[in-house]
Amino acid sequence: MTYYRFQNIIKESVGVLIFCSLIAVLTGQVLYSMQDQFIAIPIFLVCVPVINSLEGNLGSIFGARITSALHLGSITSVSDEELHKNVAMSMILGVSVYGFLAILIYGVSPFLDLEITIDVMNFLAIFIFSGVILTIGVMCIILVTAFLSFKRGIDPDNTVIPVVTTLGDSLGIMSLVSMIWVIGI
Amino acid sequence: MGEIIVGSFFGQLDLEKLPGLIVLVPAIIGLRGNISVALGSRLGSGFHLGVIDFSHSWKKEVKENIIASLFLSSVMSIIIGFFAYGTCQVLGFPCMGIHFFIGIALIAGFVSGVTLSLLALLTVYVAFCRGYDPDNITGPVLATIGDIITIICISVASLFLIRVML
Repeated sequence: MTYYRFQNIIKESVGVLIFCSLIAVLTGQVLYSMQDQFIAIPIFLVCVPVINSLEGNLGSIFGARITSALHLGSITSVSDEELHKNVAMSMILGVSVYGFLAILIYGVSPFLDLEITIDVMNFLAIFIFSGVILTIGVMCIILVTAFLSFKRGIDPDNTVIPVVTTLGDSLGIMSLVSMIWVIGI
Repeated sequence: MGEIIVGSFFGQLDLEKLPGLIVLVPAIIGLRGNISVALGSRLGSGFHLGVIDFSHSWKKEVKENIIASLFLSSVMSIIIGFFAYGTCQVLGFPCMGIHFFIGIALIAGFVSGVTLSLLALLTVYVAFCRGYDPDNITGPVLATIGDIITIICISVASLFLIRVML
């Protein structure tokens, strides 16, 4: 008798995987609709995985802190001061990390054989603003998910991370695409 | 830093020869992360529960886990191929044939699945030997290395299919 069984693993994972794949494919369509711009300026393709994984990290840290605080009772409502401190800290962390990475990407791109045909200030503005929008969006998603699941008696630890990783990636690509569109290249 | 390497591979994909390839990229990377991190975390839990014990019998449990994860990778890759082709048709975007979508997704999904299953096993084993808690190590290791391996697999799969079919 074994503890893990093939059928159980498949049965329990397939639903959530199909849901996540569908969202990811739709995100891919957003990328595809901007493909010409991305091919013209490949440096933005470099940004896509960077922004996404960074948001995953920042989001999971923020999410883990919020869910722990809800469990401990140190955060009880949206107007809590403890929560405001956490939000402010994550924003500062987000902006500084995105700023640092923007400079790093711009610095290493000549060595990666990518042509830079874009103005430095425009690139920095696009990267940092999409990072800020993404951080705000992901924090809203985390707070809504955490508070809703807590109110319904569901452990937020089980809901926040899957929701953040799935929606965060889509939101990351959409904020980058919309910033490219707003600021222009 | 690892992600910048991923990005630079991404920048070098042959997107013009294979229209619609970019649709697959976030889906396959996301799938890889979901399946492999889940595998790593199951192996970690199995180790904590004592059902996976490297000094005695562990072959059966590990085998079930790895086969399930490879099966999921293959089936989900095919589904992703269909999704990508279908949404392109519905939205009216020009795209490559469905055999390219499914072929690239399946090759990239399966090859990266095999590599990452072995890596997950190795990570849990090394953590076990050194006395670390595998739960603290498998997630970050598999997520970061997984992205790099997956994007390399996608480029290789697409180059291979271009060579064979075009």
